[in-house]
Formats: sequence, C-alpha cells, structure tokens
Amino acid sequence: MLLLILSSTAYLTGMGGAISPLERPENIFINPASIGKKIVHITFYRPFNIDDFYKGDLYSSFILKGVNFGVGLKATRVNRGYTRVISAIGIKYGIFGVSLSQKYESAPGSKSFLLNYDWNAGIRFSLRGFAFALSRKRLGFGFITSAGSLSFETTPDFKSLYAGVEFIVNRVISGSAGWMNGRPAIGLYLHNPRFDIEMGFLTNSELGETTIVSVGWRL
Amino acid sequence: MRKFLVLSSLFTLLLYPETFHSIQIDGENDFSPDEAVVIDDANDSYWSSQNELDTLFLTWNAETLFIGCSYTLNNNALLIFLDTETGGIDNANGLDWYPRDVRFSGAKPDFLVALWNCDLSLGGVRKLGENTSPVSYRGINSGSPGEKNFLEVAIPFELLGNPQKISLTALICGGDYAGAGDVMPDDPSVRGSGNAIINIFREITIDGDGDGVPDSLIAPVDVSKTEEYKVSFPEFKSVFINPSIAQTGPVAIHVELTDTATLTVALFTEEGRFLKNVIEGVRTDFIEYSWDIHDLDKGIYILKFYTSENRGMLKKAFVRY
Repeated sequence: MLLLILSSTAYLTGMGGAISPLERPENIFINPASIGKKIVHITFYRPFNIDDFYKGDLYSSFILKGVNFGVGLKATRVNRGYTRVISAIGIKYGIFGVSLSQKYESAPGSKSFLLNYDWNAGIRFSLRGFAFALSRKRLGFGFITSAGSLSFETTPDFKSLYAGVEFIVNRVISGSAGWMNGRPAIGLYLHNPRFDIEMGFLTNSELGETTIVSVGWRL
Repeated sequence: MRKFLVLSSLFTLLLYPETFHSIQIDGENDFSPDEAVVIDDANDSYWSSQNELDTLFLTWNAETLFIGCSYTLNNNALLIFLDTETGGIDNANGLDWYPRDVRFSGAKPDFLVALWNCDLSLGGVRKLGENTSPVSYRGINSGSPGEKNFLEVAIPFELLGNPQKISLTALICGGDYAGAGDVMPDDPSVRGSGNAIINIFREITIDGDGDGVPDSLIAPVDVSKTEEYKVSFPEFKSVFINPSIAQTGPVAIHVELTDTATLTVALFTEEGRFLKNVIEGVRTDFIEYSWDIHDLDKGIYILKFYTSENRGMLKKAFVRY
C-alpha cells in the first residue's frame, strides 16, 4: 500500500518514473501503463534557481467504472515571454496503457500558437519483485520490495540515464536517492492518509541546486 | 687599534646582521634571525609534518635579493610568490608553469620561485604573466624529500625591477592544478584541499627612502609587516541576452565586469547537461558577443556566465523556438 502513495517528485530526483512501483499519475508522460490510482499532485520548482524560469506540474489519476484514467499538465514559463504547456490524458487497463499529449507554445513575435500532438503507449508488469516498463518514451526495469525499490531507466535514444533507490522508513517518512544523467539527487517525502508533502533536491556541480516542492491529495 | 676596530666591526655584524648582507649560495643557512621575515607555526600543515613550511628568510645587498626557505617536503611543490610592482597575476591556475589552484587578492604576484620534491632543477625562478619567462638566478636546495630542507636563491634587483617593496607568500602545493597544504604567512583560505584565495602577505620595504637603491644597515624584520587585504574579485556588473527568446539569430550576449577577468559562457540543456562553451576564456571587462544560433535545436537552454577569478556565477535562460 505504501508503495502506491509515494512521491511524484521521485521522477525528478533520480528515481525515474516508468518502473513506477509507485504508479504515479505523472507517468502518463512517461509510460501510461504506470499511471496512478486516485491521487492529485501539484509540483512547483525553479530549475537551478534561475530568474524568470519556472516549472509547474499538475497531475491527477482516478478510476471510472473500473478503468484507470490520468490527466496531467506540465507548464514552463521562461523570461516572461515564452510559455510551454504540455497536457496529456491517459488510460490504463491491466498492464497496458495509452496516452495522448498536446504541446502548446507561445512566444513573442510568434503570430500563431504552436500545437503539437504526440502519443505514447506502454506496458508494465512485474514478476517476483522484478518490474519491467517499456514505452515509446522510456525503458526501464527495477526491483521492488516492501522496504523500497531500485530502478534503472533510460530513454530510447539512451541519451538520458536514471538510477535510483527508494526507501520506506515507515508509513510517514520515505525517501529517494539517485542519479539523473550523472547528477546526484535526493528526495524526502512525508505522508499521512490524505496528504503527501514532498521535497526534492537536485544537485548539479555546474549549475547549482534545484529545490522541488510537491503537494499531493489522495482522492 | 686598527685590528681591534676591524674585529669589533665583524663581531657587531655577526651579532646584528643587517643589510647589506651577502648570502653564500652554498646550501648552508647563513641568514641571521633578523632576516627571518616569516616564522611559520610548527605542525600547522594539512598534509602532515612531511609537508611543512618552517621559516622564510629575506635579505639583500645593493644589487641582489636573497631569499631563503627552510621546509620539509615530500612529493609536492614549494612555491614562493613575490609581488614587486603593479600588475601581476591573480590566479595561479592559469599559469603555463607550476599551475596551482591558488588565487590572490590584494597583492598580485609577478615572480615565482618554485621547485618540485626538493629538486630545484625541476623548478627555478620565473616572471609571471600570460606566459611565464625564466629569470636568471643563483640558487641551491639542500636536503632530500621528507627531511628538513633549505632553499636559497639570489636574484638581481635589476631583474626584479628594483622594487621599493616586496610582498611574499610561500606555499606547499600538490601537482599541477592542485591546491595548497601549508602557507606562510598563515592564510585561513588554505585548508588542505580545494581552491585557496591568498590575501595575507608579508610585505618588506626594501627601498624606504625611494632613492632607487636598496636600504642598507637595516634589519629586514624591522621593515616587515603582515598585510591582510580584503578579498575582492571581478564581479558581474551587467549581463543580458538580447533577445532572450529568439527564433533566428544572431543573439547579442552582453557582459560587463567590474574588472578585467577571464570570462567563459557555457551552454547547457534545460535539464542541466553541458553542451559547449559559447565564449571560452576571453580576457575582458566588457564584451558584446554576437551569438549565431542557427545550429541550435528548438528548446530551452541555460547559459552560465563565470570567470576563472571568481567562484560566483550567473545563470540565464534562453529560448529558441
């Protein structure tokens, strides 16, 4: 049960996401077969604390007539003029999932909005503690126990690599530590039956740190 | 009577050695206690007693500056930096000879006496600048690695530019681009690892009356004082990218610094992965760079502005759409 309520910032702190022992809703962007069950998450951060550079994510997943749905928004605002919003909707049934996403961009001087559509499909299954998740966007495998998980993920072009370990201290506290493209990251998560509060710290020796704050409500 | 006067003069000189005092460059320490301008604390090295600075000596005659240094060293470098005039370097990491992760604030050294692992034939004396150049000197080091050593060098004042004052600092450093493990005079920025910013120097007035001739009949310790300078480095005065959201180039990168520094502007992906340097190691205090972005894919990028003289950096986002 605890595995299901862990963080949405984990994917930003080295844990990857598609393996998803967590079944987090944001996985509709990574692997729709891994979307969560009944939860809403809001995440906000400023990458490397750069002025006029903001990112915010909103995700939700819910069950309707026995079918798992997920919706999400990823918004980016840069230099007070450029906005990018990626929205997605996904559906999961059994070990399969599909999603559709749309990218909206606006920039000064751009006479029309740019709209791009994309799709994703994936599969996720586990066998004796080993989990495998394959999709158009992410390939990964991991090992899951009740005390935590270990995961390795990469993008299909192998340009990005994620590795992480997640540990569950008790029903209230859990954490993650990992590598995102060779950069260390840690996350600390506090939970109660209704809410999650999550802090993630990404370090980059050349650009400094990113602090990620996420709040979740279980539906 | 005459014999008595000569003997008593010699006796006085032996008891109270004063400039002009010519040192025999023979590996024997014939500096006097009044010429010990820096006495370092015993056992204050971060790298054990095998790499410990002891005493820095300095004296002169009318034509030559004599520097002596007693120390213990094992598989590391001894560096004595001299600041004799305006100008000089503020970052030893950029040197083409004995580069070390040591920076300077206040004094800017323009000469370096260096050796590696007690072997002066692997070092010498050089004038510092964009490119270092050898300086003619006489010198000898006595001792072997891990034991007490004594280095003495004689450098003609003419080659040093006949300075009125000299500021000194001596360090034990690791190999190329490594940091320092001991320093004299003591400087808290030396911590045994990482970058050091030396801002404490021993300043010796050599020509106090400014007549162009080194002063005689003075004890060097009497004209020595420790100077602690405020640490200050070039900072960014104004930085902007115009336009910061662009479809086509060129894009103007404007950087203004409070002082001349070695500027680099590095390009990163949105996720923080390094791509390339847009501007690399340019010595300037102002630049208006025209950045061609035609080979840049659409996306969000991060530009990092930094100088080799300062740990601080500035980051800006840039969008190509």
